[in-house]
Amino acid sequence: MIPYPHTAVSTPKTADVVIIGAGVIGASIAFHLTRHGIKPLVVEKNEPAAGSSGACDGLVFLQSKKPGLHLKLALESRKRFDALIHILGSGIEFKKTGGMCVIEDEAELAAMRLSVDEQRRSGLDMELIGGDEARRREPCLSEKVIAATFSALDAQVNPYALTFAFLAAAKSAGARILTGEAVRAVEVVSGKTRSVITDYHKFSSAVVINAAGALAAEVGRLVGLKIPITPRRGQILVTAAVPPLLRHCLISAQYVAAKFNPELAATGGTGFSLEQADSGNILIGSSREFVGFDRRTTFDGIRTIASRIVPVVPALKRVPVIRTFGGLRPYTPDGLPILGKVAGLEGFIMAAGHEGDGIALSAITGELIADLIATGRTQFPLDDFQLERFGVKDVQTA
Amino acid sequence: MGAKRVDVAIVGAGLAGATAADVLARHGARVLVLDDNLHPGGQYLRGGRQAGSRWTDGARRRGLDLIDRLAETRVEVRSRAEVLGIEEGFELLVADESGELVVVKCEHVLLATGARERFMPFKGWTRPGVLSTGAVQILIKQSGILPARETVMAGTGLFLAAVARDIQKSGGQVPVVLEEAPVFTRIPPPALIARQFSRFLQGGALLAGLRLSGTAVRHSTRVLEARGGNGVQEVVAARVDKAGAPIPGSEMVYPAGCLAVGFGFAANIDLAQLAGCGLAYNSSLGGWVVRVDEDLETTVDGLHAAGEITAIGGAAKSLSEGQLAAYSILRRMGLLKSGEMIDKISTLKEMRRRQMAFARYFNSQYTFHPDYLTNWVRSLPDQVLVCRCEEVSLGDMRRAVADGFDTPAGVKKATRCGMGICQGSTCKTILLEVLAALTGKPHSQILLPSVRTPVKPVYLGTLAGQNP
Amino acid sequence: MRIPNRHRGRPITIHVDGRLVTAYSGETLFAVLCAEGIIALCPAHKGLTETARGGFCGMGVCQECRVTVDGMPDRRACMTPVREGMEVVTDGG
Repeated sequence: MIPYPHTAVSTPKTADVVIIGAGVIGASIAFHLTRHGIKPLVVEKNEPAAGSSGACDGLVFLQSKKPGLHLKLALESRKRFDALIHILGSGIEFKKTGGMCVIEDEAELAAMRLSVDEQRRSGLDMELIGGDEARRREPCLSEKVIAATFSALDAQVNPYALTFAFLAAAKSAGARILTGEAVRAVEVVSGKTRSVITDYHKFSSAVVINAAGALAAEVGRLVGLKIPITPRRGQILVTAAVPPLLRHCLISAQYVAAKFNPELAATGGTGFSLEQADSGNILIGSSREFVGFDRRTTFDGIRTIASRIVPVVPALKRVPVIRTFGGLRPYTPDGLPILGKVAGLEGFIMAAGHEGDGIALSAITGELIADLIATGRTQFPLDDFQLERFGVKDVQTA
Repeated sequence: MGAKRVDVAIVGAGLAGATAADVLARHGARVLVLDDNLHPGGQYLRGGRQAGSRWTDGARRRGLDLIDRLAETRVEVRSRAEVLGIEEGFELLVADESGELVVVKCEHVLLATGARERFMPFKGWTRPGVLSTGAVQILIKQSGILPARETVMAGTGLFLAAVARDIQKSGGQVPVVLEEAPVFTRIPPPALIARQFSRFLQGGALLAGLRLSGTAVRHSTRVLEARGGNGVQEVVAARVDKAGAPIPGSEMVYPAGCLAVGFGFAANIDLAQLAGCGLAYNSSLGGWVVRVDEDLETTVDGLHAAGEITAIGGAAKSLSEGQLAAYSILRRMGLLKSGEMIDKISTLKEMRRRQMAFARYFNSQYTFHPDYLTNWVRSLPDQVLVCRCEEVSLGDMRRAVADGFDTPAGVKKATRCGMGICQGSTCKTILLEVLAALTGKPHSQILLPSVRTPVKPVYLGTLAGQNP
Repeated sequence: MRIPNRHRGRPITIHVDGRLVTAYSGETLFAVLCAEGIIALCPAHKGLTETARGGFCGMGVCQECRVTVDGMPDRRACMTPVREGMEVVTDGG
């Protein structure tokens, strides 16, 4: 870290790999690179987890993933977490609570039956249980819940603690992390990235990773790329710490069911997410709004979330809400992150666009990108995640 | 869920807010005053007429008359109403005393949210029996209760002496006042003394009264620890040198049933910050304050600010500013023609200028040099708690800064400082002071953490539009 | 302790942790508890230094005087006027 005032005293001018962004993705990549013996330089314009990774809930939810590639990625990531706890420590507050997706009406129930079938075929173990069984497992649920799906694999973690733990582990294995320093330019010569210019330094580097999350498009512009990542705000309510109330992390079927029944998506209404952190605070989400980079919360957003959750968990009525925040999810048009190399721009690697799944997918993303750079090979092909799938052309070269 | 539409919403029924409401109503504006306290009058007028003294100054008398008058006018004053947030338009989200949500729509907003006390931490300051100076004054003035037979005062500022006198007049004892600052080193300019003579006289009378009743005022003396079981039994203090470091071997121990602490005041700027008002850090104005022009308008169109939030400056300034803000709003509403009240406004502006000059002098008396504060922070042991709610220690903060988390947002995430139920109301000023000391950055370069609705805790049921 | 020779509202009775307590209309709950010597009101978050808190700022800011009043949790005693028959539950450990 650079102490104030900024000096270039002991900062070497080259780096094997420069990672732009110290959110959970950049942090995970840094960590996984050090496992290959590579010592990356992470450049962060604010501080670690200053963006979405510090303004989200900690759900590591598999049930909500689209069956197919998305779910496959999530399952692989989830597997990695078990090993990661031992390396990163219990400070990341990873808990295998199991997750419930609560169902409130017959239309949702019909859609969720289809979902369960498809998820199971894709390899996710899920059960469909009745309302009474749901309440037996999660007593704070009201009679409004007529059924639920349950997956023992769903879990939760502390998102910024996870980010910090990745970075701390990377740092002790030789990675360097510069904070309060923004990337202003990326030098590209003959179609290859040559160096990264920040507020205070110029670093020669052959490999530059765009892990800038909601700001990934801005980084893309530095190299003449149009990256279709736009911020999508999610508002979250935080309650005071209360004695243990929730046994699992919860989402509402509305999110999932809408995928199978477009009518449900059209009739509006919002889904919710619910999690009780280790600290005892309960996090209640969320919204999905395109408002540019506005991270404020709104009266409408807050009141909608509150009205949505109280009928389902009435015990929350008398719990004080002490804080709200807005996080900007890095949204892509097809809901999949943008990972891997970029044709025509050697050395520039994409690792952004995880929209709402950054925490859950951080483990596998870090591993895949690190493997790609260190060995050229990844556990499974990244073709479906490439930037080119959006038909991006016009890569500028110096 | 209620809704109200008015011309002007005023947040705070203290001197500034009440004065403004009075002026606005007399000129025909529809006003709603929202105040979170049990009774209007703010901190200054707590306890009403009974809590005054023979030395009751003009500001207090005028303030009390004002509150009485308000009750007779058509100004609606809602007490026990918490303004949770403010949005463009304007809209205010309010939780009333029954736990119901009310949305207030208005064209103009006046923020007169006053100040709270600020603190520097020490060992044992979270022990029950350690109270803020203000808490003791409120107990005495509002409820006629003394927290203990013997109360030691510690911190900085004349407020300590004022409350010490309140305690003595109520039959309690104050063995000692532990004042961090050295004896006044700045001689006030003669012109200032002449203009604010009565205020200097009051201050002098206060200190004389203390001395006469046997209370020692020890300057350059810092409270180090509050010891006891679940309550306070004794207070440990030490002398400090000119650089701000405790002098070894100078420790003193005072038995006491209560320790009252206060280190000046901090403006309550949360709503202003939430509304996007321009803020400024200025130690001679009392720290972070809301930027206003001479008509008391903030950088947000239609939003005015008055009273302690523009500068910690006392009762008379609040009265002037409340009036000025009201006239400015009336002009914008077209209820005051351009030539009207010109002399009055001109006089008020001149009075305000003088009051600001006094405020600057007064605040700088109790502002410590950055080097002094750095030494102060350095001298504090690791286990001293900075964030009371989450029990985050100074040691936790030092470790976080060493790990590179050197901004308030970073420290917050790394330590949870400021994440508790009070959301930094108590620890934010301490956090900023500690960061300034540890990083060497000036306050103006330390980014305030963001503020979001609700600025005060509110039941989820209330937000959901149900009565909890 | 109550300051003598002060005009007070009419005497009322409240319940604190099952005990009957005399108070006066117009007093805050915080003041009454203070007069009764009840200074531990709510638990400290982790209990790192002492296990309970009892109010600090007296003006609704610090949130450390939280008690349950008539079944409603997290009420600040310093912002609560006492009323006849009020039921108060503290959690000072």
